[in-house]
Amino acid sequence: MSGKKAPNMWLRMLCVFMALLVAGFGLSAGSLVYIMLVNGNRYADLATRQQLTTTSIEALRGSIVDCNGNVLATSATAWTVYITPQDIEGEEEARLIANGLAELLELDPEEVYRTTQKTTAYERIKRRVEEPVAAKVRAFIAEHNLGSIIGLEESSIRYYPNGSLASTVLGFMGDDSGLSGLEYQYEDELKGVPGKVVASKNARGSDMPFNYETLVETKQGNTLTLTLDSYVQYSVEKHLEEAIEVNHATNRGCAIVMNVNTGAVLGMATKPDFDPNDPFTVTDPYTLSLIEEKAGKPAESKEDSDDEEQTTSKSESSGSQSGGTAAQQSEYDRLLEEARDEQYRNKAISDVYDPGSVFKTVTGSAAIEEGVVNDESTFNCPGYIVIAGTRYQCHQTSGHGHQNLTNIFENSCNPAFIEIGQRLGVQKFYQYFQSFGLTEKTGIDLPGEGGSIYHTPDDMGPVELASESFGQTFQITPIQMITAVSAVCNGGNLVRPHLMKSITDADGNVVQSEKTEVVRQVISKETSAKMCKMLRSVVDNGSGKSAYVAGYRMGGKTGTSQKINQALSGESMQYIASFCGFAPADHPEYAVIVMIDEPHGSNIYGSAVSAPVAASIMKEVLPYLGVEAVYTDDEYAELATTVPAVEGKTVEEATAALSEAGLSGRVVGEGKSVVAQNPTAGTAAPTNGTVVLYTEQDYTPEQVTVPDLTNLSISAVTATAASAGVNVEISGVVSGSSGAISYRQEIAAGTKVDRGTLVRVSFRYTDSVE
Amino acid sequence: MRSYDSTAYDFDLFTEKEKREVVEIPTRPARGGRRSRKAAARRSGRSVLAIAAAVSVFLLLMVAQLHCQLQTSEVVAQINATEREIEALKSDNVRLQVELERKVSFENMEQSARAMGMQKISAAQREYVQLHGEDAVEMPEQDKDLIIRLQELF
Amino acid sequence: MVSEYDRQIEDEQAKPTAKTRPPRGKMDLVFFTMVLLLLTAGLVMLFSASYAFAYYNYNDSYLFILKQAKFAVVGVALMVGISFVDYHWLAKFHLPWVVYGASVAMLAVVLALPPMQEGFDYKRWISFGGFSFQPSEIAKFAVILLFSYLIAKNPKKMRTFRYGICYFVLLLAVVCGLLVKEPHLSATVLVFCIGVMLLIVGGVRLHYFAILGGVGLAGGLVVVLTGVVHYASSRIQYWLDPWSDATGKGYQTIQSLLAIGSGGLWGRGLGNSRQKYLWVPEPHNDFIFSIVCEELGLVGALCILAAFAVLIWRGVTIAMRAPDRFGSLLAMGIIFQVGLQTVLNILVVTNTIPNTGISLPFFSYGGTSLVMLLCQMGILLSVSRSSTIRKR
Repeated sequence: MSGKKAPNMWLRMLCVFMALLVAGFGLSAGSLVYIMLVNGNRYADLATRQQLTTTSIEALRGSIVDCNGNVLATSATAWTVYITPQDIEGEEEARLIANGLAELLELDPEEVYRTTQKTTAYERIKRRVEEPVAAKVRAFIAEHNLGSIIGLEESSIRYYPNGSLASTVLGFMGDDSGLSGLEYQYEDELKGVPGKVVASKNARGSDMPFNYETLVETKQGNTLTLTLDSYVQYSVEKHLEEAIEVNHATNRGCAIVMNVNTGAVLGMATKPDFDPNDPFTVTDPYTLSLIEEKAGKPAESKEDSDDEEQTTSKSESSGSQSGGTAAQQSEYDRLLEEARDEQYRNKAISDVYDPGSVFKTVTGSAAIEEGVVNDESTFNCPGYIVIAGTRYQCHQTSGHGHQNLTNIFENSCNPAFIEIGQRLGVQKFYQYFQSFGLTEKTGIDLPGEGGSIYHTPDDMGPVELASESFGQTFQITPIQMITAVSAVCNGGNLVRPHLMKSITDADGNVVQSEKTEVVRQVISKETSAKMCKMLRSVVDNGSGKSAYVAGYRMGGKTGTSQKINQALSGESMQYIASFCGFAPADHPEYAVIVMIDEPHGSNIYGSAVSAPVAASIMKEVLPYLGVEAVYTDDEYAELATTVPAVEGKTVEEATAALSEAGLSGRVVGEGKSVVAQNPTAGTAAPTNGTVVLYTEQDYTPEQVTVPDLTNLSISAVTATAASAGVNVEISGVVSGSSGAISYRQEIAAGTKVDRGTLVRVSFRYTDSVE
Repeated sequence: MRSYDSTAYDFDLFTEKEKREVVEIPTRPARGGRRSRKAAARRSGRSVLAIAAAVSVFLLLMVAQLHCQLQTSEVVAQINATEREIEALKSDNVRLQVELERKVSFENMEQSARAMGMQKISAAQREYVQLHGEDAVEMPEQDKDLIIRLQELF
Repeated sequence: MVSEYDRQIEDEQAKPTAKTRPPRGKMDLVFFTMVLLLLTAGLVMLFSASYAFAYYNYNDSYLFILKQAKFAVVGVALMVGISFVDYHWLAKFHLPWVVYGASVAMLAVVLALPPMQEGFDYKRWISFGGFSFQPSEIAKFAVILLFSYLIAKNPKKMRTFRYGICYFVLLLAVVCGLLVKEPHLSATVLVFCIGVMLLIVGGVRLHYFAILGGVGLAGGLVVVLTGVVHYASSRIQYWLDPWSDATGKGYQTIQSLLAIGSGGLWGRGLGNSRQKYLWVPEPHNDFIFSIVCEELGLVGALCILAAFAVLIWRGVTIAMRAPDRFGSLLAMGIIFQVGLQTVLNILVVTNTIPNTGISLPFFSYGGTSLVMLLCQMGILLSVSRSSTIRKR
């Protein structure tokens, strides 16, 4: 019986083997075949689908640069930090995340905590997170292993390195695209085209070393080069801002500097404006001060108090007082909202206004061109004129009396221009109105250009014609006005104002470049030349004296218009002070317009409010732009001289050198030779100025206090300065004129300076000319 | 096969033997000779070595190929990491440039200059210089030798 | 008729004497070749499957292959060395009992120790001095050795119920029970199957066995269905539809299927697997065969399968040609273990059976397992040296 075992064992072994082979290996092989052949494509497809990803490669937005290549707006990659709240496990984790992220991203921990309590799959915590902070966030994620809850998405951030410079012109960005200004206008050129790449990625999202295909090449955004000049823009903004504050303007102001021959805009500013780096808050201090004036100070904000309870109790207690603080708060908030919506508005192209007397340049040129008036024409102003039963008062109620053609511009005499308008007639007047481009938009490459409001010929009777002759009862934009004045002075060509100088792609190839477009010839060269001469006289002799800049032959026209529409709706009468000018008058190159809306200072006239701004701007900008100063003899005599170097000389030699330069010396100390001098060699000193000569070693420079030199006449200024021990340089005074009053000194009153330091004082004329 | 009952023929022995080969061979007549056993062992040892060698070659070839792929894989990973670093550094560079621009904005410069006591150039201090036309080249008279003169003649 | 050898066994009770034992000769070269081939293939595939994982997680592409290679060298040396040793030494000094006792003790120790990996509630490893191993590996061999020894010792008694079945069932139950408690389902299944197979081959009466088998199966089903071993039941759900939890429990299975499917007929080429780039979790362990399929294709995979089949066949041949029962059973047990593990691993990888955590011999990463496997191959070679059939 045991014998049976041996073959049985053998047999059993064989059976086991066969069973294993057939059942086991057979099944295995079968399943492999099933998966790889039968379902192979399906699985391979799924595998490929999970491995291959089509990723979009973001294109970096193109930069905006000024005419010299200085960067005005540029983009860089940044990160958006987000969380997946539904994956957060437990209170402790939520607190950890809230506190950690709040600290790194400078947010309120309570707010972040509230976000963690949501149940969504995606909640944005902060956008535009820069690289160093992003790196810290990544480290935080790694440290606490929160990779499935906190994530970083690549996006971009737009930088405006110059803060609010040209903000209304540049515009600002929303999440992905430009929302206003040039950012909006040139969106297509700036944004570039994202590329698409198909790549094999491993489970962690990084590339596998296998071939992939680039489906679409990424095309980086183009660079937009503007005609703007940063320095010109800076100068314009600086002076405009100052004037708005000094004159307490309540409805903003704007200014434009333009090349009259090409239409290239070198500077365009609206103040107060905003910071495009932070476009959704009101940051301008002047705006905030105006709001505070109207609505009182706001209640303490939550950011100031750490304790939420404190704030609640405060508002509770204040609410219980009289409800006044709460109402104040809401009024403040309402005004803040309004201000925020308003701050993006580019007043220079969007707001229409009655141009007032500046428009007389158009009426005048039309009349001269049509031959209705000429060099021999005379006008008589009794102080008023009556047209079809309506009486128009001249701003000089006693009348200007007998005037020639130049005089009426100098005096800005309304009756005279009304008469000219009547002589032209409605049809001709309207024809020139149209011709100067005032019925259509200028076509400047910015969004939101305002359309003008005016009477059509069917609508115009003699009364309307009369009002329009001196620039009231119709509204145009400042850009239209300056374009029209440019046409008046540049030989009669109406040019198209533009901001784009060129567009270059990422490789530097020029895609587009500016063209000087002459829309039409409006008046003849001769008429234009005549106008230039007369308008120069306005500055030299007339209402525009405050716009005078020595050596640069400014020409222009002042304007003070009444906001009649507002007055009609029951509000008190407000004014717009403006000035539009150009230089050099003998060969005009650049034009400037300054418009200040609702000034509330002691003097609200364009001649006193806006003209000095134009002067300050041109004084700074024209030398920079390379316009040569040509001085008349009188001007030359009044120029400041350069202080000669007298250190080391004997006192006698020094005094002699000084008197040769037209200066006098004041010796301090008993020494024989000059140890130090103030002002130092090479600085400016006015003619007849004093140079302090120190003759002893270890001298202590004498300190004097700068006196208040504003609101004084020229002689008063010179005398005050001399007695105080400082030198003054006078600007803005037309030689041979009277009535100039100082309004600004470069070194503030009360500052302690060394004896002999130069203080520049600017003057203006305060005639009440409309 | 035990159905055979005849004891005369002990077929069992045969039948059994058919099934299993009796090992005689190992107790070969050549039981003699540790030499022959050694030879046999050496022969088998040689084949073992041969097999081992062949397999090793095979192994090494595969490993070499994989090694190359491995290196590709590592390098690609490094490239990706470096690329990401470059991007991050680029955007950081832009950020720093912007900060620099902010610091040297016109506003800052003017304020800093005034704080240092500087003043803007006065109109009087600007001197205009007239530059004459283009540069002209003057050639001095050359001593003409014979050859040049002959050339000039023709 | 009793064969000569059976009689010898009966008489000698597996006591080695130089007189009665046939002299030892060459080892089975085919088997040896197959072992080396499979080992080589295993190393190559391990290298291919692991370098991406190693690089991204440990910054060292060679981490796994170098370790495995070292163990392979040691293992091959041991294998050749052991092949020269007469396997009957295993039966001496009550070694089978010693080994069995030791493995039972270690299994008990493992249960008492805290879990080695956080978050997992199975306790499978003992580690000391940076060196860790699984007692279940030893247990598998212990069962093979002990059963072979006992069956060979009393071949006649195998026909009885008391000895043939109860005794062994008890021995098996102890080990399997301890393994189930860990819980280590794959080891339990393996040990159980091996034990059963040895009993079958060893000459148990089949109908006794069938009854017992039926009872056992019923018991097993009850256990599974009532979810007593709950971690097994959840595995069944994800086996049937891995997409029901595609990012959680089903993830590994899905990735494995994607890898296999991507292979197609000829595969992507050696080294060209995409799934090994962090898609298949731990591609160097249990799921290495998926990568093999992806790279070598159906043809390659079937070739490897064939290689295993040849190895098994050769092992069975060695078992069949073994001079005595002990050798046969030993060989049979060892080779069956290899075969069963291979089959089960491939079936898991193809999602034909739910995931049980069985590694692929020669391929999966695991130094101690590889060395143990090669030592067992050595034992097989040793048996083959004693084989009564020789090549001419």
